[in-house]
Amino acid sequence: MLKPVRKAGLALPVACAAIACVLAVVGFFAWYHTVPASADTGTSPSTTAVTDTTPVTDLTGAPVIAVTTTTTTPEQAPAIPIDPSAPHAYVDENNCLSCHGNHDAGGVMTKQRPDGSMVELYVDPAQLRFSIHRFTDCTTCHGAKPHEADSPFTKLSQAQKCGTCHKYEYTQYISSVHGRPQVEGNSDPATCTDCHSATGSAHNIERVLDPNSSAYPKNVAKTCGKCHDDPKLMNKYGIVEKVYDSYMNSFHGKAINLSDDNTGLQQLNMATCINCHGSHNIAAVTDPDAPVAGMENLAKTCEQCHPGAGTRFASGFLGHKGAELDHIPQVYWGEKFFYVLTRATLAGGVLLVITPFGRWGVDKLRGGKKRGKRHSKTHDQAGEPAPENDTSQTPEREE
Amino acid sequence: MATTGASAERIDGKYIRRFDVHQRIQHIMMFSSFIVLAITGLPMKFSGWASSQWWMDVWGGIANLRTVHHGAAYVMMASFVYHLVYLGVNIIVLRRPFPKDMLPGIQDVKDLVQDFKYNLGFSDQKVQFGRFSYREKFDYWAVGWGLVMMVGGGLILMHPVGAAKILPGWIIPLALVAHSDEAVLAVGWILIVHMYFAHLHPLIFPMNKSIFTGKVPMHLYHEEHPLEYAKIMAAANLPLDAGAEEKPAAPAPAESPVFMPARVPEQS
Repeated sequence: MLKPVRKAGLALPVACAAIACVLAVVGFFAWYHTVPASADTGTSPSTTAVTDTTPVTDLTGAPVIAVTTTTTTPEQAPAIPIDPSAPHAYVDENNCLSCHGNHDAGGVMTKQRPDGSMVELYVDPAQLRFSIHRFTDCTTCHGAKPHEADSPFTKLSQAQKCGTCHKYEYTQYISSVHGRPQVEGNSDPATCTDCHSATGSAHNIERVLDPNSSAYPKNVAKTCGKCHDDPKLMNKYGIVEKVYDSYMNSFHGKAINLSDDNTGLQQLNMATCINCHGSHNIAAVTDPDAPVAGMENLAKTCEQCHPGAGTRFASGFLGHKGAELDHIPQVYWGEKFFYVLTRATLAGGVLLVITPFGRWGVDKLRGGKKRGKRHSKTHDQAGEPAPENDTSQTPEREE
Repeated sequence: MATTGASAERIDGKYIRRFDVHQRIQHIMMFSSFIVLAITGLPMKFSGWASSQWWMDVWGGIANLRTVHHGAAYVMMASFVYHLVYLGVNIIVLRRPFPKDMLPGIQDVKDLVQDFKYNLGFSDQKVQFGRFSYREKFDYWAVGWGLVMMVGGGLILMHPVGAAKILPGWIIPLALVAHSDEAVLAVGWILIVHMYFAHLHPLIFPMNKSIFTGKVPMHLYHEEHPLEYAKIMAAANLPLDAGAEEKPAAPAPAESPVFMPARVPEQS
């Protein structure tokens, strides 16, 4: 009969103290981290991606919601049909939506593109309510006489239309690897709405800092992956790496994938595709001026977030490739070594556990005679291995 | 009070002292930080799992979880340093004998082979262990190797820019491979092997408390470390079955000590 431990000595108070120390240290770090977290978010690397030029405060610092448009003044404008109780309203000064927002008219409201495909002219008012341009009237983009305009937009003409307001972004875009082919007549690369709208429609472009936006840090990789994870399209241009998967398995991808949705500002510190490759001014990796072309450029790109990185730090970056014999072979061999070590050791561990458990089970099944005999060894002399039953060589042996 | 060597001082009632207070504190620091490191580290490795994402949200995002991971890592490093200092003080300052029982030798390989032969039924001769069995030696040295990998790799991942200043750049992805694979190995080994021999083994279940109390019941010591047990008993001029003296008081202890607590009500 086991007696309870009569006195634990120092162990119990020491155990409590040690656990308390661990909790205190861990708790301190957790608390310490939360304090500067909000201050750190000012160092967003993605400020160039913010396209919203609407001033959010006036000179006194009071918040302003701009409802004026570039085509009409408040005096000329008819009554703006904004429901004051609705959190997200929109401007429709010329009642375009009375026809174009009527889903029952969808069947007849289509137009043929030059290439023969049809485009629907229906505009979903529900989507419009979340557009960053909801207070910009239809005519701002579609012209004062939209029914006489040359439409629908091509990828190039749409970018040009966005560029009438977003001039800086357009200048960057049209000389980027996405923009230049558009001028040459290739409409494969992305235009504004391909990245800035979740549906590809210009009518529901959301602000970059809106967590639902397709250009929000957490969603950038998926948005780029719409094209860059499409093997058919990428093979056409000789881009073979699995950029989306490799990003999501990298430090940067994991960091953004696992950051808390409720503290979205944390995400602004984490690198997405555009922080290394550029956004409106994106360049091909084969372009010698690209921010990721060559160790010198790559090191400068790393240094945006990792001060003092240098080329040696950059040379260890696997990029979108796995470690191969011709690409950082040290990591390739390291992966092989630890692959074998981990599995071989754990397999040995499993054997180490199931064999004694199996022996115990077999002894148990064979009944009390055997079991009693085995435990009677506890009372053997001198504890030395006393050879007994040397004739027993097979597990099937019955006693 | 001695916890090593063949000395009568090690006998405390029906128990034999095995771990001194420093070893017990080191183990507490080690396992508590290990648990925190595992539950904060594994979701980072398996970041695609929905459970990982949920767990991250519980902690308020990866930034908080990573901070906790670093904090627990410092505790584990401290236990490592504590152990090295403890060894140094014991051997150099207090002039205690070098703990050569822990060094691996050819006998451990023989024991391993014999253990498998016994467990598979090819032999009826149970292995007789001294102070440390080959399993305990492997655990000890595996923790040493694992700590070097985990702490070394972890520090590189914690300070990648600083590491690249003194080491080549490829050390950073290599550190990630080592840290992440070694972590799975450590967690797997603890869950499979350590849990079995410290908790789930039929003779031990539910728990071997000796790492907290420092003392092992005599009959268990006889079962697990018969060679050292014999030396201790010889030094104390006690018969080998001294630990089993009171056993007749318990109902049929020789049958299965495992189920003894459950049989107590029958006795009364």
